[in-house]
Amino acid sequence: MQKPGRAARWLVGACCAALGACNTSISDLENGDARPQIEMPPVEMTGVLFEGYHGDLRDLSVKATSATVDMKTKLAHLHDVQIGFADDPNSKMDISAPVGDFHLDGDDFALSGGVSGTTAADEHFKSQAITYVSKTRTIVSDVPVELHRSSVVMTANRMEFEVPTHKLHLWGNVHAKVKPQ
Amino acid sequence: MSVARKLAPCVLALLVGASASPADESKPEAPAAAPAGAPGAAPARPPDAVDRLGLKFSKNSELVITSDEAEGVKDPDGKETVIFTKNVKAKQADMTLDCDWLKAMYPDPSAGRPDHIYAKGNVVITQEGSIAHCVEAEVDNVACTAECRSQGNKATLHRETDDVEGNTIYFDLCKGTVKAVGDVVVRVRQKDKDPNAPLDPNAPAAPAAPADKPKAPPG
Repeated sequence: MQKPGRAARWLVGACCAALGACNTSISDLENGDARPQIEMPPVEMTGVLFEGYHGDLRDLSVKATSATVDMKTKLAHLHDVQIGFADDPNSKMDISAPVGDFHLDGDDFALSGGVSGTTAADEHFKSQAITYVSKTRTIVSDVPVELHRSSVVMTANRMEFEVPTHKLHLWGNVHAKVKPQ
Repeated sequence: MSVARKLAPCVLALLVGASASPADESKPEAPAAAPAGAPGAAPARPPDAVDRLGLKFSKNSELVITSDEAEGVKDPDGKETVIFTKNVKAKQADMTLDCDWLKAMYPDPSAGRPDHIYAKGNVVITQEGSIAHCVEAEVDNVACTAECRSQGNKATLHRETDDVEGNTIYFDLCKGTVKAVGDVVVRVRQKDKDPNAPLDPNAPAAPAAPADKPKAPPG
């Protein structure tokens, strides 16, 4: 199954290319050379753009102004991230955040620093931090969240949003305010 | 003016409702109960609140629903349902609905306001001294009606010293009228003293109504 974590894997490829450009190949590092093992420093990239990925009815695009890929911790640390993905055109979702962490050996990612997202139905949400759990294909916010939909504003302490079904769960001090028509 | 005389139009309206045929039960149409500010009502009172036995909501007011948990599901056709659970409270202007479980149904994504609200479990609706208790309640925002139903126990409406009981109590939320159906009991008790009633030295002394006596046995 295709998952947003493929973006992270793409970053691994980009990282390898960057290393190759620096005359340091992965194979050199992995073979039994007598030379002392060189510890790769985090690779820094700017103007990161990954888009056009299409598979299993899901479009995915990842944009970031800069990225630091740490092969040791297998973590891609992105700044000013914009993520767009959808199961179908009607369920397209765009999420942006100042900070994004992609696990290179997994499919999950975490966004923080003030996350905001919009859906095709002109709904939008805000949270300080969210995580995407690929196993359940769920967006989770363990901190207070605010959702806007038409004239309805909902707030809660925690949120889970199932991307395929658009099922929304809210916990703790749920507050739904419906403005007069 | 005596309490009994003031409530007479309401009681008459309830009696009409109580005598409704079973076929009428499916039609949540409120009878022509005492309209707000009817002739003979005490002029010093707010006509839209104190002299109303039923409930009335303000469509132009903000609706706020609070709870411990909520779950929203969107149908493929765009209809959305939000289910609120645990310590649910819905408030619109001076009307409050408390319950254990509440389902708000939105007709389409552009509609900000739910067209239907269904509440279950220890439902209590309060407004301006009127308190209705029932097991489940259904509010139709389009038809501007509400039903308060109980299974086993009766639905009740209490206001000041007066009570209405019935299997189902229907409210016309736009007119502020009420209709009780099924094993209806209406109790009208003498108030000790109504601080809001205007002094009328020419008013004849009314005989005290016997307390706790059912006024309207089910027809």
